[in-house]
Amino acid sequence: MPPRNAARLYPLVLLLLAFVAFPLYWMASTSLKPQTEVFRVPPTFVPETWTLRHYVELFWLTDFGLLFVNSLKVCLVSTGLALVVGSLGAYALARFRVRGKEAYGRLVLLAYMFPGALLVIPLLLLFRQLGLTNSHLGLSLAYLTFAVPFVMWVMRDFFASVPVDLEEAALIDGASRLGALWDVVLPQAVPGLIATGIFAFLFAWNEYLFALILISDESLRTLPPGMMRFVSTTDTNWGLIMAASTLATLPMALAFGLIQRYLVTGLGAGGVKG
Amino acid sequence: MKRRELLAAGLLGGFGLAAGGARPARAQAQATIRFLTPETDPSQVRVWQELIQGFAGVNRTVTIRPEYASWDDLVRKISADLIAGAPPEIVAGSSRTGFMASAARRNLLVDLAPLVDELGRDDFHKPSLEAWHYNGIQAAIPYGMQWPVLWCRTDLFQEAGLALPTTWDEYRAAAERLTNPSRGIYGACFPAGRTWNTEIQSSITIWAAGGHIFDERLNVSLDTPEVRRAMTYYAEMCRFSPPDIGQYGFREASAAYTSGKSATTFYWGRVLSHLYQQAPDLLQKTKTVHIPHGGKRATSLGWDEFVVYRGRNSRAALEYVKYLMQPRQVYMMMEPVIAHVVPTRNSVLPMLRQHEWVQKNPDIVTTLIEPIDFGISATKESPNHPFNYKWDAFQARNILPDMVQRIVLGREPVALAVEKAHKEAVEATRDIRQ
Amino acid sequence: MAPNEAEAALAREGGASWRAARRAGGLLAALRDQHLGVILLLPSALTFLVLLVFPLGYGIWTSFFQRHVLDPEGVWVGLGNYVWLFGNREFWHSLTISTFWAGATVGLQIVLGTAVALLLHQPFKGRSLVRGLVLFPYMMPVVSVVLVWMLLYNALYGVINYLLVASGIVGAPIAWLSDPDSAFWGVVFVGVWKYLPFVVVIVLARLQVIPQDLYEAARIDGAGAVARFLDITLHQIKDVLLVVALLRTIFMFNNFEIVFLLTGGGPLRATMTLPILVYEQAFGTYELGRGSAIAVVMFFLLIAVMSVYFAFLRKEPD
Repeated sequence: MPPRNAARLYPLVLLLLAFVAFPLYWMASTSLKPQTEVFRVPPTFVPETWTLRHYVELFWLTDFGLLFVNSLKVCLVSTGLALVVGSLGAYALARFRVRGKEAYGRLVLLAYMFPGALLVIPLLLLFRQLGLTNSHLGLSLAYLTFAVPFVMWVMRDFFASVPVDLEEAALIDGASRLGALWDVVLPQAVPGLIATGIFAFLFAWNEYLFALILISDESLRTLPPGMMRFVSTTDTNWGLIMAASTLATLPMALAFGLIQRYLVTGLGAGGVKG
Repeated sequence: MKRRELLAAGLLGGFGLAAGGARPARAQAQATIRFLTPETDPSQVRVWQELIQGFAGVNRTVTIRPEYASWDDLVRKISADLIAGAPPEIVAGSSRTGFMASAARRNLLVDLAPLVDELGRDDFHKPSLEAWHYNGIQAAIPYGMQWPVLWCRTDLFQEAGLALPTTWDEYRAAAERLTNPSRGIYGACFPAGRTWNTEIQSSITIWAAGGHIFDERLNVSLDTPEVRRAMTYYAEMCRFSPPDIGQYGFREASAAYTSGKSATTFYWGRVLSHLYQQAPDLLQKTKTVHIPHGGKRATSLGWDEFVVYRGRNSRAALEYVKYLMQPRQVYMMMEPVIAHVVPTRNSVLPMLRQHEWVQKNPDIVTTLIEPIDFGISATKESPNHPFNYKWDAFQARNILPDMVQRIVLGREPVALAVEKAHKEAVEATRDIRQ
Repeated sequence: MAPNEAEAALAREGGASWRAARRAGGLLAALRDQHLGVILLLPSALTFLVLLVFPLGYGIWTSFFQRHVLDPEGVWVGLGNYVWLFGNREFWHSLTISTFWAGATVGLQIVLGTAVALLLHQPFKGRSLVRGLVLFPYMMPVVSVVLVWMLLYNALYGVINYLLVASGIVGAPIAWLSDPDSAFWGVVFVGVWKYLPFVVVIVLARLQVIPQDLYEAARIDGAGAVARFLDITLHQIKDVLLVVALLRTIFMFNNFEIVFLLTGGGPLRATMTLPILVYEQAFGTYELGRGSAIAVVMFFLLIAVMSVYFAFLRKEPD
């Protein structure tokens, strides 16, 4: 493309940036304003009085720290389990001749599309029987309902794209199938696993309905329902809420920043859930 | 084989981590009490935690775990917990008489009468105790009583040369004069969200017009001239309210006032603490009056209360309720939102009156803490009404908020909307047996 | 190598390795491929069975009962809940709202997403930074997204209304989420904002592999910019767009959080999508059976859309 177009592109790029980034900017800047300034009309586009008060309050007055750690725990466990269970299945689907494999592959996709609203009532009743309500393990398991099919679906394509030659060579050298998976295939698949893992983590980090229904003990509460609680029935402390929103976005922003180049793998192959 | 072991170890490690993520096992002798409350302002949450620590100092065998939900979600959460087979042992401040009566009817609640006797029945406000007495049991111990009032910006009223309103006509005239969208100021703040606040404010309006929602034989009585008049007034007043009242519940109605955008709002005493925290400049410009009436004075009487669900740990839960009901603890619960509720124990009242905010703001707190004789509870709309066991089913279907929304947002004629609501109410309560 | 040939080759080699491993005496290695494959699939199969198939069955079972939340047992009503459902105006209303919600958000995502991808495909200074920024809404937690937009939309002190009124575009603030006429578009806008990056990234990835010589050839043939876009670009990305549209439609149809947290389904049911109706029936009006029945109907709608997807995959082997 001839670069002379560039000058004409910038207005469009600016428009795009305003659309995408303004809400983000507003979130961060509101979290740094005192409450009285939030209510001001006309609004201040750059905080007139800068304050970190809301961030201090978040940790001193609310249990944000606990919510954050709980979320981290649940999401790491579910992502870890999903990666193990899902990659084994994905590898089998990509490399082995198993009867009914195609049908199973479709089932996986179907599972991935399952509406949470359909699952929440029966899962609640089932988990009650198993004693898994009000437990982080229970919530992590509930997240497997979307994480495992997602990992399987993405990693199946990924494993299929790893050249078979290396594996064949290992097998000829006398390695077992599992040995070849561990030594040869897995190292090749690491970028895919990281990208997939980050998406699985993202879905769990964002999930609201299961977290609301399956956990009722405040000491076990995770971020999404916990943050909605900050919008208490009686009061809306916007500064505090925007500070919480900003901090809740940070882990994902960091993760995405670190692995930006692998991202398309996860997005492209995954169809990716919302 | 070595690699197999490695893989297996990895798997085990994964599960081990997962198990570590679950709740750690408690010592056997410990009883864990779940304590659910919608009082979730951060300052209030701190008090709940202090009370839990205080209790831990006198009782080492019981662990209290707080749980929080907003008022509008509280009943949904209790429902979900009941499906899960594990209701919280204590519910504090749900203020849902209808729901708790249904629970009492299903024999899910502990009778608290012995505890009231132990604490000293004479110290309690009798009508409050009676309001929570169903099916022969004391289903809850109310610790605070409350009613909404009209919060008014005296500076804006003065500027317009208006007196604070006592009747609908005065309020309507004032709201019209004070509304000035180009300045971002609205004269009134009538909620129209699908929320509990909308239900309460529309109920008050119906009562203030001389109407009832159920008659004395508990038949639905919405399709009446009084209700039509009330809803006509409600719809008119919405025109002088902020543009987004279609979403308003409690917090939005309060924020509209504390943000200085609404010249008046219906609210309970809690606004006082919001003003101290967020808009101290408005304290000097604020006064409260009782809600203007359309012929009959009325406001909605509500309570904050403790309910104890039956279960293995009921006895331990009773211990904690007993601890919380001691005068000093009751006062601690009230302190962050002082003047929001009036204590039901006479021995707590003097402490309330000593509070700095109460002393300093007589123009605000008088209407909130001096006894009134025109408060109405939705489950008992008049002295001649029996307890309304149908209210829970009526309330669960949001019939009043839906009616308000159809009139205010959907521009449906009042007569038609009221007729529809009447039919819905009849339908929703037809199969309800006592 | 085509996948099937690869698998065949692997199977041959697998046979060889099996013989080799047999000599080595390993227990796992002695298993034939078919068995090992099944074993590797077992954990996932177990997960699906316990966490998806059983709950689905239980949900269908519950939908045959009238069951109040406070009661441990329900009353068998057979197809009663379904009869109620199909005769109920609220259900059909919610089905319509859900369809429009999915249609509007996905349609806008596809059109805007393609446009943004085309823009980001052009070379300009700072392009990689912009590409990174565009991803942000997608990774932001839904709850954060909802809270920010509630503040932006506020009618009393929200910045959107301030800008609209100050610039004279509207005379009075718009009650974005609380007016039945605007609430639907208010939530759709947030849905588009949040999930647009997804379409952008996929289309961008596809654009990057369109052979440049196609454009050169078209230019030599004298095709204009519009013709080149229609004949080459659109033609090349149309399959990707179709798949993305189908998948996003399902996800938006199932989406509960965004709409529920923004409006709770209101005002006046203007945004009452099916998942919210399920939640309301089960936990708001305590009707577990009716809630389950709606969820089951959603599941069969999902099956229908998925069959279209599978038919499409069959037609166009990758």
